[in-house]
Amino acid sequence: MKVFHNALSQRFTEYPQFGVLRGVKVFLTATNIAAPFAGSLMAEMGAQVLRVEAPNIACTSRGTTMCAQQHRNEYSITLNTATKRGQELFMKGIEWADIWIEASRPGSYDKRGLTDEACWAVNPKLAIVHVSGYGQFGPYKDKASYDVSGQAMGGYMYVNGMSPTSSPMKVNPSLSDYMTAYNACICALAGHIHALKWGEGDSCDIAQYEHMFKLLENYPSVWFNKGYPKAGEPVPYRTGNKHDVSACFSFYDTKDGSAIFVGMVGQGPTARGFPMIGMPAPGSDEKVPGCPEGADTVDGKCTGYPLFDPRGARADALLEKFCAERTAAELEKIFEEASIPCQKVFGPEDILNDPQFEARENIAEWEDQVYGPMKGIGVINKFKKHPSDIVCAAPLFGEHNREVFKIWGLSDAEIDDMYAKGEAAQWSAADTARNKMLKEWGYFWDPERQAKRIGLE
Amino acid sequence: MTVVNNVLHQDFAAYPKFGVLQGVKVFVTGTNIAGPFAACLMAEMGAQVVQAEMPKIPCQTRGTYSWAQNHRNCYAITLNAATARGKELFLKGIEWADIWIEAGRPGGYEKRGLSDEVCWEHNKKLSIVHVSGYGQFGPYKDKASYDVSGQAMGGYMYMNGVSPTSGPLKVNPYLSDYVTAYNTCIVALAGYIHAKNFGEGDSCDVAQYDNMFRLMDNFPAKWFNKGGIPGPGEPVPERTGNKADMACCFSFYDTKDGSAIFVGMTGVGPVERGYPIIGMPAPSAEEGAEIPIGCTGLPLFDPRGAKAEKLMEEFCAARTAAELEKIFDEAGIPNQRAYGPADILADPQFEARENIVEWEDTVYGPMKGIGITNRFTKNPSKIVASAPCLGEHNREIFKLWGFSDADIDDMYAKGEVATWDAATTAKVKLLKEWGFFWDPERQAKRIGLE
Repeated sequence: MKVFHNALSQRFTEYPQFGVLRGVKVFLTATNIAAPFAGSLMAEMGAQVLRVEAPNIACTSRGTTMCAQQHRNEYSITLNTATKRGQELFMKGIEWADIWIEASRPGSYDKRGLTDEACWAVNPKLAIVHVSGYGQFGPYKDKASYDVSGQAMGGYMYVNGMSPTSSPMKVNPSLSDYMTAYNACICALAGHIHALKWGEGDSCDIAQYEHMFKLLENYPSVWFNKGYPKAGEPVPYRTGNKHDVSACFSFYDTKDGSAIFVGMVGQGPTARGFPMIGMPAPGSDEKVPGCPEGADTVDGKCTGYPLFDPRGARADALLEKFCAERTAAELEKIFEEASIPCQKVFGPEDILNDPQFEARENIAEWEDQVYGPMKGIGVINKFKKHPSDIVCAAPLFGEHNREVFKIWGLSDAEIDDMYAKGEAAQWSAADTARNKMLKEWGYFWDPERQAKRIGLE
Repeated sequence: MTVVNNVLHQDFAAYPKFGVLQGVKVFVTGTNIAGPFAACLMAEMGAQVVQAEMPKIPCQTRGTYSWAQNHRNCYAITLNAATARGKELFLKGIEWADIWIEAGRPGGYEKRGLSDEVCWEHNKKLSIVHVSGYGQFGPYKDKASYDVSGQAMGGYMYMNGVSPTSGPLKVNPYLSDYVTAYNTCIVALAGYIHAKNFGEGDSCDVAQYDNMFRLMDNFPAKWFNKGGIPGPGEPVPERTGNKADMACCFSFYDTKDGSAIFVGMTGVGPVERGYPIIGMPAPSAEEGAEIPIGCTGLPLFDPRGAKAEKLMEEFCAARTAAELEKIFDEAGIPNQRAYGPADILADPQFEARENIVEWEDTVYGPMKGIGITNRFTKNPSKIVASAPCLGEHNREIFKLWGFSDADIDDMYAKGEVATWDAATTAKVKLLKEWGFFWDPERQAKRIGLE
C-alpha cells in the first residue's frame, strides 16, 4: 500500500509541476465515465484538468468512492451554457485550454452557437473531442448513450458467453465506458500533438459502439469474408473460460470456487505435465483410452493437441478434473514447481497481499475530502523521469468556481449574483454526504468518525 | 461497406501526409497485440510506423486476418538486436524515431547494452514505452506475459461470471492485450508531448496486470475500505452476468431467438408506459396502490421489484429481439439489443459511419474488416496501404540508414535479416491448407502459390 500525502484542496494558480503532461490544460464538460475518465488519466500524468458540471445537475457519480478515486488532481467549476453568462465562461475555458472534451447529446453545443469553429475562432490550437454513444452523425445519433450501447451494439457481447449455445454476455465493470475514455484520451493527445506541430487543432467524433467494434480483433474479418452463424445457431466464439482450439490452454475451475489458467503446451510443459494429470508420458507406448488406432499414443515431440483431437479432448478433461480436485493455491504451487505456465485468478485478498502489487505501489491510500483517508487504485504506468502522482483529492462540486471565475474576469459581486440566480453552485463535503445520503445508504465504513470529520450532524 | 483504395506496397520515402499524427515517427520492436497495436492506432492517424521483427521469429500473428487488419499503413523490417549489425540497425531506428515501443522480456534490451540512457544518447527526445505482463520490476517481472496475466491477476475475471456462485470468467477477445495497447498509445503520446514541450523524452513502464486493475472502477475502494470480502468458496456478489446488481428492469434479458436485449425500464415515463406492457400494475394515485404514481423503478430486493423482474424475463423470453426492440421503441423505453454479425452488416449507423471497410491486402487480396473509427474533422485518419509482408521494407530503409546493397546482401546471406513475399507467408503459415482463404483457388492463384 502506497500512502500519498496529497492536499485536500489546491489552488488553480498553484498547480504543482509534475508528470509528462505538465503544462497541458484540459477542459472537460461531461459526466460519468466515458469522457471524464480520459481527463482523470491525464490529470495523473500532470495535466491541469478543469472539470465542468451544470450547477443544477451534479455528475451522478458525485459522492461515490469512484468519484473520489477517479477525479483526484482535478479542479471543479459549474456553469450552464444555456445562459449568456455560462456561455461567456465557457468561452473563457476554451481560450484557456489545450484540449476540450465533451459528452453531451450530439449537436447540443452547436445549437447554442458553441460550434467547433466558434471555439477555434478564439483558440485555433484547441484539440476537441466529442464523445457519444452512437456518434455525431448517422441515423442513431440522437439515441441516449449507455455503457451497453457500446457493449451490445458494438458486437462485443456477441463474442462473449459461457458456451456456444448460451446467450451473449456483457462485461463488468462498464467496459465500454472505460474503453471509450481510453480512446478519447488518445484522440485528445493526438489532436494536441497536431496543434503543437502544425499550429492548429482538430475535432474528433468518438462513438462508443464503434469503439467497441474496433476491439473485435479478427472476428469481423472472419464473419464478413468467410461467414457467420445464422440466427439461433450456436455461436462458436462463446467458449467462456475455454480456449476455442487448444487443449490444456484455458482457465479451469478449482475446488475453492476460483479458476486458474494453465498453459500445458510446448514440449517441456507437455512432457512434465501430461503424466501429472494422468495422460501417457510423451514418447511412451502407453495408449490413450478411447482413441482410434494410430492416433492413440503421445509422440515424444508432442507440443500439445487441439481440442478436436481425441487425445486433446481427453487431456483437457483430465486437466479439468485435476484442477477441480485442488485449490487454486495448491495448483499454483504444483504447476510452478513443474515450470508449467499458470496464472490463478486474483480476488481482492490476493491483490491486497500480493508482492507485485506491493512492489509497484498499485494500491494507494490517499485523503479524500468527503471520505477522509481511503484506499483504492493507485498510479500505474511508471515514468522514469517524470512520475505520475496523486497530488490532491477529488474536488468538491463547484469548489473552484470563485477562484477560476475571478481569473476569468468576473468580480466577487458578479459571482455572488451567479450563486443567487442558481447559475453557479457548490457543495461542501457535508453537502455531498447529505445530498447523496452517504451515511444513510451505508457508503461510510466508519460512519461516526467519517460523519464527524466533515461536520455532518 | 466502404471500399478503400489503398496501395499494396508503399515506399518509406514517400509516406503520405495525412491525419492528426502526420510527421510523428514510431519504432516498434515487439510482437502480438499489447505493444504493436498501440502503433497501429497511431498509423491510422498518420504516424509513420516501422515495426521490427526478428528475422527468424516473425510475429505469431503473421498471416492471420488480425495482422492484415491491424498492421495496415505500417512498415516492416527485420533485425536481431543480439548481433552487432542488429544493434547498429536498432540504434538507427532509435535515431530516426520520436517514439519507441518495445515488448521484450524486462531487461532484455539493457542486457544488450541498449538501455534507455543509451537510446537517449542517440536521441534525447525519444519517448520510450516498455510493455510487459507484470512490469519492469517487482518479484514477478520475469514471468512470461499472456493476455490472461492481465485478466486474471488484475482482478478483472473476479468481477465477471454468470452468477455469484459461478466461477470467475475471462473476457473475449484478448481484452487485456487490447487495453494495454490503448494505454501504451496514451503514454507514448504523452511522453512525446513532454519531449515537444520540454526537449527531452521519458520512459514508461507499462504492465498488463496493473492496467486491468486500473479499470476496476470503485470495486477496490469498496473491498479495501469497507471490507466484507467473500471468503474462499463464498458467493461473489459482483458476478451478476447480464443482470444489474441493484435495479429491477434494468438489465439484459435473454430473448426467444437466443440473443439478449438491454431494457432500461426506469424513470417515471418508462415505468408508467412499460409496467403495463409486461403485466405489472400501472402506477396509480389510488391509496394502497401497488405501484404509486411517480415511481421511478424498484430495487431487486423489493418484492415488487423481484416480481417486475420476473415478468420482464418472461416477456423477453417469449419474443424475438427484433419484436422486443419494436415494442420498446414504440413505447419510448430505452433498449439495445446485442448485435451479431448480421445486425452489424445490415445496420444503417455502421454504414453511415463507414465502420466496415473493404481494402486490398497483399496476402489475401480484397478483404473486409474493421474500418476507421474516431472521425477527425480536418485531418481524417486513413487506410493508405496494406499490412506489409515480413521484412518488406528492409532494403529501402536500411539504405536510407546508410547501408549499401552489398551490406544488405551480406545480412540476407547470414540470416541477419529476412523477407517473406505473399506466397511465402501463405506457405509458411499454411493459409490454404488450414482454411484461411475464403476463395482458395482464386486467392492462391493471385499470389502465385502453386
